[in-house]
Amino acid sequence: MNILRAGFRRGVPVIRDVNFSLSKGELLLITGPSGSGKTTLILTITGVLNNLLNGSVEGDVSLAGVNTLTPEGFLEVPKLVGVVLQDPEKQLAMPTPADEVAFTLENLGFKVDSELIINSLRHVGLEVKAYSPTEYLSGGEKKRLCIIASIIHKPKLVIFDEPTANLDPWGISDILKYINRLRTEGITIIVIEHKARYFLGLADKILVMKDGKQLYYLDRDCLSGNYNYIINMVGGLGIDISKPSLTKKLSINSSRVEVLRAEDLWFKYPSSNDYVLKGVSISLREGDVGIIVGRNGCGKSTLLKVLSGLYKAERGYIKVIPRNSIKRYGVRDVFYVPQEPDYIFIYDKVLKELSLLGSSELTTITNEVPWIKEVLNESPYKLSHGQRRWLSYLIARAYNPKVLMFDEPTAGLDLNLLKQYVSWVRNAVSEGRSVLIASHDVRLLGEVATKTYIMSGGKLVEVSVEEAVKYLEGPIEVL
Amino acid sequence: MFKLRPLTLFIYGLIVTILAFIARSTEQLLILTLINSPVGIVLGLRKRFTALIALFLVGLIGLFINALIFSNSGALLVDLSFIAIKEGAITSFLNVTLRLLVILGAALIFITQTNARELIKSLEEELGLSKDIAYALAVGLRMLNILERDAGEIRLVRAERGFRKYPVTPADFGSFLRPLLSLGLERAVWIGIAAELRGFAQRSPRRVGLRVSLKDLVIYSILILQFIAVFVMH
Repeated sequence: MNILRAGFRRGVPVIRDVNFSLSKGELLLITGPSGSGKTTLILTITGVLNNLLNGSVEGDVSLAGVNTLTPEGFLEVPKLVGVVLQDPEKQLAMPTPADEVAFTLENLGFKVDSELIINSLRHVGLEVKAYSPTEYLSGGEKKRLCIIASIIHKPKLVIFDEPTANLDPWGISDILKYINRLRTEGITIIVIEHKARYFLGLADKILVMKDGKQLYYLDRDCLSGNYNYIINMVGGLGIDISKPSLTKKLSINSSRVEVLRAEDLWFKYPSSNDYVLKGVSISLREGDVGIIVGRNGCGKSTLLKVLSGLYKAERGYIKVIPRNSIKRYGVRDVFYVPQEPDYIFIYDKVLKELSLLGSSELTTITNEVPWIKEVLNESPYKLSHGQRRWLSYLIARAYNPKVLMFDEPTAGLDLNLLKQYVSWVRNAVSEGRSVLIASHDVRLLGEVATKTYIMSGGKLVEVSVEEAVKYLEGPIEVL
Repeated sequence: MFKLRPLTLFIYGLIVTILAFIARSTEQLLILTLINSPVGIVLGLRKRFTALIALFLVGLIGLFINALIFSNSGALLVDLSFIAIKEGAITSFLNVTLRLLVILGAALIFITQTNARELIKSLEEELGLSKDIAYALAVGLRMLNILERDAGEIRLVRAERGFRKYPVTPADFGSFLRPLLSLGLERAVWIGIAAELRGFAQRSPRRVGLRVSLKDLVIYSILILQFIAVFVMH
């Protein structure tokens, strides 16, 4: 592949001067910070950018002798390539896993054989859910379904876009095992991922991108297990390439007042007989940053919603206690920020979203987050995903809550954006707020946690930061 | 419930919706409503389309206000001192509500009983519908569940921010629909790309022609009865 320029509009290139070659059975890791053009590169390689999205591509892409940039070549792409996109919700279109796999086979003219479908689903541990509704699958299961539905026809090349995004460590471990299996079967693989550390041991080649350009291209000779060399080379680019540090713990004052206390919370959804929360108790003091870790679907988000008053617990009690006095429990004492920022927006202008802020507070915020000034009169939906997420944090702060609750706030953030978020949390803490975060991002633990909890089986257990890190890193280290 | 063919359900839903627009009198609409709405609403509640039903109920407030503004004529029925409710407003409100109930019922019967992939196959192979239209319909069915989840989350956060959980005013509807549309549009673009990358452009269904089973005949008979009811009473 030799791309001179590629972009969504002619004359506005998003990627420039990227070239690499791959032989059968090799695994290429393409990494780089957010906005470096990694996803645009997938669209370019597969011919989607110029054939489907009316973008402009200058250069050559040859895939097993087929030029994917031509209309005729583009028609051959589905037979040659399997693409697993970052977000399963943006890929899965059918009601059940069996239908999803059958859809690919039907499209490509293969005979739809239910035995073949069940066997293929067995490969990714989904045979018992073959006819269950797709929306009831966990995040990891949806990702595995995307993989099998993309490769059921045995393509020569499989491309994974951020395969670890939104997955818990157990899900990541499954994906790593599966990618390794494909590699040993001789399938050529491209992995696009900013959490590069998970793929260092698997990669035959590494391509590092920044600002749409190819910064480094390392082949097997350069790699040969010399990971320190790579870590030093790409350090500071915002790529997760080494293990998270546990040395930057937040300093806390021991004589702080308690701001949130919840005891013996029990909760179940009306549609289910099983309790999601089974006697959960938690206490936060002023300036605490509590991090709740656990597997996808273990009830972390539900707990935050119950604590912030959005769901009503069946049993137990919650008290928010500002300034040593027991105050009526109100939604603005605790503010919950969902993982999807779009849910929080009400208005058609950024300025209106921040209308609760006084002019001096708005000035402070525009000084802290300079780009906000440029977009005050824009619609929130015109911002990038990262900007929308920042705006959701600012809206939460505008409500001046005593306790801020974040649901997976760092999903999809590269290391640079994670550092910005950590600094924002530290600021919130210095203003006397407490923060509770539901996350399976091990990177956060060492940076800000003053309290860590493991949630499992509806129970919440307080553990040390080191134990929480071990819990999250365990499934990956086993590999 | 016994399984029905997607094509039969599609034709049934489409024709009942057309009949709801053709029917003019309250009696005609009442017959259509009694046949379709109870079944549709029960199926909808069982498959957790409660938000759609709740949204319909909330929308009734708007319908009544609309009827009071634009059709409040005829004999005086109730005088509440600040407003006089006349026959025209009630008739108009009733007709529009029944019409929407028929469409809601037929839509819920269709979306709760149809599998997206079977629908595509059925529409392509039996009806000869373009694969693009069939796929768009199928994805729309899948999206309904996701939109339902999104709507639930949006309601929670609206309440947290001090806004009405369920939209009532046009401004509420605007702020409620904006995130739904933004997320829906982004998903639709990527689902389209993913489908193309899985060979959708090469999909070439074989035509098999219409197949009618006994169950389908029962459904078509119910449809014909409604057809007769609307045109005989016309």
